[in-house]
Amino acid sequence: MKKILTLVCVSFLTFYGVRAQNTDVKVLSEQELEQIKAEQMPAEAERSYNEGVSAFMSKDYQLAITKFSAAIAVYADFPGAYLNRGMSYAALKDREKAFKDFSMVMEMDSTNSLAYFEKAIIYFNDKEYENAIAELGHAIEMEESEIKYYYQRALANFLLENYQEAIVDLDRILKIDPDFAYAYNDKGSAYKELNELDKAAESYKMAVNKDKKFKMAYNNLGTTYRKQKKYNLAIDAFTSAISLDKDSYIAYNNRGYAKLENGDYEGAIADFDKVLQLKPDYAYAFNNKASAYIKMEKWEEAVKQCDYAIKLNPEYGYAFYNRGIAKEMLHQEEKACEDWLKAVELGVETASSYYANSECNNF
Amino acid sequence: MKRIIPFLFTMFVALSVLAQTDTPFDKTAFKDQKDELKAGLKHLKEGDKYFYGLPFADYKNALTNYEEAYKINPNNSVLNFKVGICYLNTNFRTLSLDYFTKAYKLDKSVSSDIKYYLGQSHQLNSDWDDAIKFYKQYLTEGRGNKNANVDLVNATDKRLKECESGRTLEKKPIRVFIDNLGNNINTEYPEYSMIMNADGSEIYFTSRRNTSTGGSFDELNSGYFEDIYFAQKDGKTWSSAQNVGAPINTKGHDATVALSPDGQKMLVYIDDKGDGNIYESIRTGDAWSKPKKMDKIICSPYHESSAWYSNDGKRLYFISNRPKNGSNKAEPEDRDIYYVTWDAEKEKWDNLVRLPDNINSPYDEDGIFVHPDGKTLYFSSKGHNSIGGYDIFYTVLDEKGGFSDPVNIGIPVNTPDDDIFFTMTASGRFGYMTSFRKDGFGEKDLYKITFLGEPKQPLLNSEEMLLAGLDIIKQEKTIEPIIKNDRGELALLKGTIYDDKTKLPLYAKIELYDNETGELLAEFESDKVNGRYMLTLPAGKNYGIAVKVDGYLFHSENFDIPKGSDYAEYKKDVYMKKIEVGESIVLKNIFFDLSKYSLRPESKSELERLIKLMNDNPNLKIELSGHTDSRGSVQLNKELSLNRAKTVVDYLVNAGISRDRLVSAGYASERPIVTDAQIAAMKTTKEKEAGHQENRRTEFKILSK
Repeated sequence: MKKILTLVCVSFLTFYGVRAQNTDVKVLSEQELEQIKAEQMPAEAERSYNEGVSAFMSKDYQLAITKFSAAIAVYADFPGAYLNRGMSYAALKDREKAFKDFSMVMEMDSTNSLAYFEKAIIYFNDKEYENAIAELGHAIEMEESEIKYYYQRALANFLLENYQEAIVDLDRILKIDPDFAYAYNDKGSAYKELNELDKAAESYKMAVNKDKKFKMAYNNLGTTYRKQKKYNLAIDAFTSAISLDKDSYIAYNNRGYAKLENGDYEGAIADFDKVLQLKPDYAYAFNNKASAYIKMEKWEEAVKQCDYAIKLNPEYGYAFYNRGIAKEMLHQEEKACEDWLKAVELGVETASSYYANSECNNF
Repeated sequence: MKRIIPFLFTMFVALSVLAQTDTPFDKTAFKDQKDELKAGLKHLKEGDKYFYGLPFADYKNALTNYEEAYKINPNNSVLNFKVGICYLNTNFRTLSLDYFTKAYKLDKSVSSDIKYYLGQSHQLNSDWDDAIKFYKQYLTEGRGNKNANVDLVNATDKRLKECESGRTLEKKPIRVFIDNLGNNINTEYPEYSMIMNADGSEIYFTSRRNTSTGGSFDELNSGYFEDIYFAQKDGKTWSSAQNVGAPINTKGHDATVALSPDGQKMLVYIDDKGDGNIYESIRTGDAWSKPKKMDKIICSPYHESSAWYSNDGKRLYFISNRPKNGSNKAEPEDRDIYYVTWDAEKEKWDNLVRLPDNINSPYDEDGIFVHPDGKTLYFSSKGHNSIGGYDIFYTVLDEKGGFSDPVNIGIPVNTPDDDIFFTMTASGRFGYMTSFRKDGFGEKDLYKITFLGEPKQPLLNSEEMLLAGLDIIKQEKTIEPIIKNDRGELALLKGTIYDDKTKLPLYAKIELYDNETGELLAEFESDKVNGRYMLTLPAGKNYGIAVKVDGYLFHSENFDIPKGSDYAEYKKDVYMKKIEVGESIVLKNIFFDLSKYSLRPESKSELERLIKLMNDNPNLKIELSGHTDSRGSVQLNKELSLNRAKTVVDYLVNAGISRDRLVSAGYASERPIVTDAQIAAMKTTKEKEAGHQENRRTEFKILSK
């Protein structure tokens, strides 16, 4: 019994690691433990259960299932064993069996919110976000102060582009835990997707205030500032992200983008070069470098960079589009038209205007 | 070699400025060079004969002689001044600057007007600040100087404004490529006044080359007589220019003025012994009729030099220097833009209107061109904010008939010299103009201008991780810029009309309707010999097009061209079907509300055509059928298509057509014009949508007659 309690404590500490939720050991509530004590669970069931937990933690899900099944065989009225077996099935992508075990938990313990949560996680991982939201709603009804339920529902709503609903859940979390930096970051992202950039920037700023080492939030703050055309602030934010992670090619790429929009083309190229040192196959950086050369009216150089981007990704519409711009300025209008046509085929709508208005059909 | 000489000559001048004292042509300066002095004086005298010639100075021959004298004595202030004046009156006007500068250095009082000419030659070289400096000095000194040329003093304020305009426009040059049309078109002789059809596939221009009809030399104008030449687009290049020949070209001056957008009518300028008038020639196949003088309302006793048709052919804009008060006896005035309107009943041009003063400046306007978009007028003017000589401007005709204030098309298309005879393709991508440039073939040449528009902005990519709880790297959404098409907001429709069975070309009448108002906008005809047609459809209307040939079913087309549309070119060959049992046509201008079977008002013109057809052929029995695309429920599509067909039948019955002549049918997507497989193979969403659109239709089929 002591071991179970220990595991419960460890599990509780790992709760914030939602991103790794699939491999978390699940929590037994205090009530469940009290219930187990009262019902005098056989030692064999306890041993099997604990072995199951160990196997689960070692990612040996098949063994975990065997052990949890053994616990259930000895002691049928054991919701924790059903719950963990269900999670083990889920880890093996056996959704049907997992759901069956979770239903057992719900039958045995109508107050057990974790079964709903775990079911929601399965739906979430299968990208069935509406179903996940429904299950999380049940979980929240039972456990109104459980942050992870709100957070998971906020994620599901975000991915469904229900940004306002996501913000409502994130605000609930922040009432419960005002220092939860993740919630601030994600709230900022929801506002960003809603194009409410002032609110997005405020939320991201709160995120980095709560966690000074939150590089993702710095990066998101930078992108928001860039969209607001506050280029110097954007560059500062990306620089903070880079200072926290010198290998962050995303932050370098974004800083280069901001520098380009700020008119610092040489600086932008330096950042894109840094990206390519860190990730030599990053086609975006070649395309962005080409964009800087277009701004500098170095057309041949722009073509060369687009060529690299296209070599890495032959379906890269923007690179064709940009190469078309450079070729037009090199007085190679026919080749520019070919590139714009390819860009149109790859979904770049603007290129269709260039193609039409440049009389490309007449070559 | 002809082109190299002026350049070397300029170099010589530049070098000789190093040792500058005003050196007279006399014995004191040429003590030991009697023969050279004698030769120099002879050239000087000969040059003066041309320089001061009557009734007109001959600067070209004067310059030839002065250049010889210059070799002997380059440091004579008066000679430098005269050479400057000669250059100012040739195509090499910018070269005058070095000579005026040197003349001024040698003798600051070489002429009372030297500062004006220094201003002018700096202006021609786009040295705006220096030009302004000299003009201002000239104005200050010239106003109190009895010897100063009053005309020049009076012109100086205008010159100063031009320089200010030049300085302003130079700060924001337009992005263009300017390319010589090449040696298939241009020669060492003058080429100018190019005109073309709407799609730019055929061009006509005037040239004074030695192969002109009759081969005579016009002494008065120092060149061969003008003839009209023709070239076609041959893939990426132009075919070798051909003389259009008789009856358009004669032994006299024959010059291009305008070509209708469909290329079926040409306006030519005929000198008419100095009167200057506009004539019209009609095309049949590849032959042009003998030009016929336009109505008197256009061809006044004054000078008419330029004209252009509106895109619907209902208006003719032209240039005339007739007195503004309408007198036929008063002195000619400055050249202005007028228009007349075609009176279909009287079959003549009528209602003369002079364009308002915001367009017609107190100075000359010339070289009118109406863009196929039907609303943009390009013209050249010496007034407004010209940067010198004629500049090209445009004005936009609004829906109430008003003209916007003219806009200078900008540098580098406009130069401080004359920029005139501008035309533009329907797309607005390419313009053509006449210009004298250093890279030319020696005289005025034809140039192609590629308008690049505002700088095209590159598209970048970035990635971000938006959610702290998920390891998802997401590509940032990029909002693509909306491209404003401000020069070619229209569609061009062209093709050939054939008999469906024989495949022989047909002469047809083509009616263009505004489906929204039902108004007949314009009527066109296909070529009588080859059946070709070309229409321009300016953006902002839903167009219904009806092609009609006696004895055939009408053919309809629909083109909805909303405002802000990109330029589009459609090639549509039309196959006309005779009124025979089994034949069917698609009624492309019948519209229903979305997913409903209520007729939209835009269908009226088409339905009226159908009623007329039924009335004209009282024994005709037809099937009206509805068709949908393949998307959505089959059952619903079936019901919808049948109900739509029934609605059309009901409309015809209400219009008095007997119901027993009409059968309705709903085929849903059973009989597609474009199959699903063909749509699936299309590359872009736009193409796929067009495929589905083609399948959604109302058809009629002749059951008996």
